[in-house]
Order: sequence, then C-alpha cells, then structure tokens
Amino acid sequence: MVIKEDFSRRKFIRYSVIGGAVVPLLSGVPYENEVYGGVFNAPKDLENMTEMERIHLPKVTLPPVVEDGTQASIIVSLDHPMEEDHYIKSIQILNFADPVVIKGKFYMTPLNGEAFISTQIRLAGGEGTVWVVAECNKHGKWAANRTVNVAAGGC
Amino acid sequence: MAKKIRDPRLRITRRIKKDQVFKVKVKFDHPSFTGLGIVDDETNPIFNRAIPVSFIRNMFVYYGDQLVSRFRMSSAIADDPLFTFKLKAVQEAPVKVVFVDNQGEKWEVSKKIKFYT
Repeated sequence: MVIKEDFSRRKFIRYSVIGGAVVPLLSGVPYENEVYGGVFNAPKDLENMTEMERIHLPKVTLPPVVEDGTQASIIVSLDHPMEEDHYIKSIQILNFADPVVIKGKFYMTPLNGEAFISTQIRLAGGEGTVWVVAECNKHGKWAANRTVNVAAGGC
Repeated sequence: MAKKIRDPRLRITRRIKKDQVFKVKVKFDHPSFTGLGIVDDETNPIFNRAIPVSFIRNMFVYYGDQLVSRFRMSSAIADDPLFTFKLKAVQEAPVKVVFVDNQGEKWEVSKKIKFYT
C-alpha cells in the first residue's frame, strides 16, 4: 500500500506566508462591543445606560471600608429576567489583588426566580477592587466592580 | 483544638404563595482558611502555604429532585458563612442544600415548602 504524502515543504511555506499576513490583519478588526480584555461587557456610559446594559450590570453591595478582612459581606443582585430562554447563568466574585483571586462562582437556573446572592468573603489587607461577573445565557459576561479598603487583611 | 462543625441550618419564610420568589438563608458553621501566611513584605510572593487549607468546596441546592443552583467556592470564603439566595415557588416540595468541603465530607439540610392559602 502506498501512502500519499499530501503535505509538502512548499505547502508549509505557503500556509506560513498566508497565516503571517492574515493574523496581524485580523487583530486590527474591532470587536462588536467594548469589553475589558475582550472578555467582559460593560456599559459605555454609566449615567445613561441602555435597558440592555441596565438589566445585565450586576449591582454590588460592599462597604467601601472593611474593618475585618475575614468577614466582608457582599450582596450581588441583577434586575435580569429569569425565564426559560433568557436568564443569568452564573455570578462570579473575584479580587485580582488577593492571593486567592476567585472567591466563588454561583450557578443559577430559571428556577431561582431572581439573580441574587449574598455571602461573606475573605479579602487581603489594603486597597483592592472586587469584581463581580454575571453571565447571561444570551448576552455573555457583564462585569461591575467596587473599590474596597480593608483595614485588617483576612488571607 | 479543631473547631466542631455544626450541621447547616436552613431558614425559609413560612408564608409562601405559588410562583412567589422567596429568600433562602443557609448558615453553615464551617471553618475556612486559605492556609496562607505572610512570609515577608519584601519577598515575592509575599504569601506561602503555612497550614493545610480547609474550606467548603461546593454548595448544591435541590428543589424537589431538581438541582437548581450550585455554588463553587474557594478558600477565600469566610468562616461560618451565611448564604442567601432566591428560589421561585413552583411546587410543594422540599428544598435541600448539600455542602461538600475540600476533604470530601458532606452535610445536608432540607425543609419542605408548603404553600400558604
């Protein structure tokens, strides 16, 4: 049996040249929405949000100053509908300045009725930004953040 | 001495009507620590693993037989956390919350939903 080798050196060079030309061109194409690092959606103007932005942006309740970093209360809610075909899939809490970045991820279904979660998290001392990312099953991930100052670190 | 872990406690309002969205509060006295200790502010990384890590890894919420929610946590969740979330009263069935910690140990608590007439 003869095995036909259909990948030659010539083809490899040709594909490399095409790839080298196309990849830089594609990187210049703007994304559909303005997002952080190409991952999260965020409202363009916080003062004048569209209805779409308003329902998807997580509302985060976190005190600006936390005395005890071992018990920082956080409440996250959204005005998003929880219908069979359109609902919030998950809410994730993060702080990139902490040694343990991901605090938790709460997965939801339409049976939750409302996108709401309240818990207590640990935060490292000093100033940091707590990020909350909500994921809609249709419209992707939406992020909101709160700056917090922690007096006594809890990590 | 290691702290005793109490069974989780579930709190739901008594007056629930059909299709009402109600709050569920679950308190679980479970110690949680990252295990990290500060080495020195000058060194990088500042933290190292000082003691074994312990935390609640997962919280599963069942309504009837259905898994409604799941909360996947890290060691950065507080000690003895109180979780509050919402459910839609679609049927008269028990709400069950199951906790699993990072050692694989399991705890559960449940309460039956009865509609108020």
